[in-house]
Amino acid sequence: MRDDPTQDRDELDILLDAALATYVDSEPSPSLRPRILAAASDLDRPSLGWLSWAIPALAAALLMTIFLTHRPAARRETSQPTADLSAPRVPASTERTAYIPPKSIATEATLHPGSNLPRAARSVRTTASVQPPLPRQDVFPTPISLNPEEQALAAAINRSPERIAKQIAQSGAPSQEEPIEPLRIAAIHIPPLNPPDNGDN
Amino acid sequence: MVSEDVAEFEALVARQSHFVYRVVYAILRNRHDAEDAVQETFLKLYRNHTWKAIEDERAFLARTAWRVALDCISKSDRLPKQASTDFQPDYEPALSAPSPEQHAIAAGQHTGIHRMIDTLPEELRQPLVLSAIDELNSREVAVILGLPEGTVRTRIMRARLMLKQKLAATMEKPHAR
Repeated sequence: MRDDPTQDRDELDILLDAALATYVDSEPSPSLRPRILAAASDLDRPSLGWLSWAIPALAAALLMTIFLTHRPAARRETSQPTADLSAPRVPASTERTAYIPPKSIATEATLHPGSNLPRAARSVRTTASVQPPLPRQDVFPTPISLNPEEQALAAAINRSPERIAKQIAQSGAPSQEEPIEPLRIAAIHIPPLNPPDNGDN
Repeated sequence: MVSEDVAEFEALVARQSHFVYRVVYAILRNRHDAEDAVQETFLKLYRNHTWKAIEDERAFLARTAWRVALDCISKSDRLPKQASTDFQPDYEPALSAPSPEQHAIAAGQHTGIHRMIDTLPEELRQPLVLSAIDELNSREVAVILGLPEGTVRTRIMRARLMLKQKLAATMEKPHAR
């Protein structure tokens, strides 16, 4: 039986083919097809997996927004003392207005329209007390139009400045040319209080 | 996905899942791994929507399945069962009409030859086992492996030759006693 090499070869080929056929011969389990289709339908369902990264991302974006929106306000608050430090310019002006009679304040405001000293002094006082910081303007202090009384006064001055100046001189206000004389205050004599006569008070 | 597409996909799975299973089983030689690979193969097609525009359905599926099977091997970092080569059958090859006894002997023979096939280099084993699948000819095996058809035929011949030499050597030993 083993003497013929060609017969051996044929037998080996047949044996090999049979073994190869059984090598790849396997049947899948009946549940394979439903399992594939179920997995495919799972893919179609909207997945909530994106929530795992979307929620932290949203929270981070929210925090960033809050941080960015509150940061300029904080800077404004911290810069407020600086504005107060620069404020002495205004109190100096207000000191100056203290020497000038009320009418002359408006006069000076009219002569120097950009200054607006009383209004500025007022705004400094209110800002320092309770009011929240106002938004920064291009021109500081913010120019404010004159009220009707100030406008009438300015018009009168423009019409006849000499007459107004004369009136101011007559009213006893110190002119700018004459040095201000120191005030002389007479000695104050305060009489003693009389005792109550009847005790009705 | 539209219901028509779903129906088409179900028909594709019904038509080709058995064939795909045989391809991956030939590579993986493990039933559970093969089923996982079949599922992964079809899901890959389903995700990419590539299954709608396939020209050669079987060749495309077989190539995709082969790649998935190779990925499974590389992921699990293992090769199909490696058997020892010292297969020594102490029987005559049963080639005539199989009696139950001869059938058992043949089963033992096949197991031994399977071990020999497992020990082949992968570049020879894969063309050989794919060609053993009834539905695949050498041209389709060449498409699956991405090799020229001539190369596939050469590798199959080399694999068969190696196996026959081993088989002949093992069958000579009992006669030499």
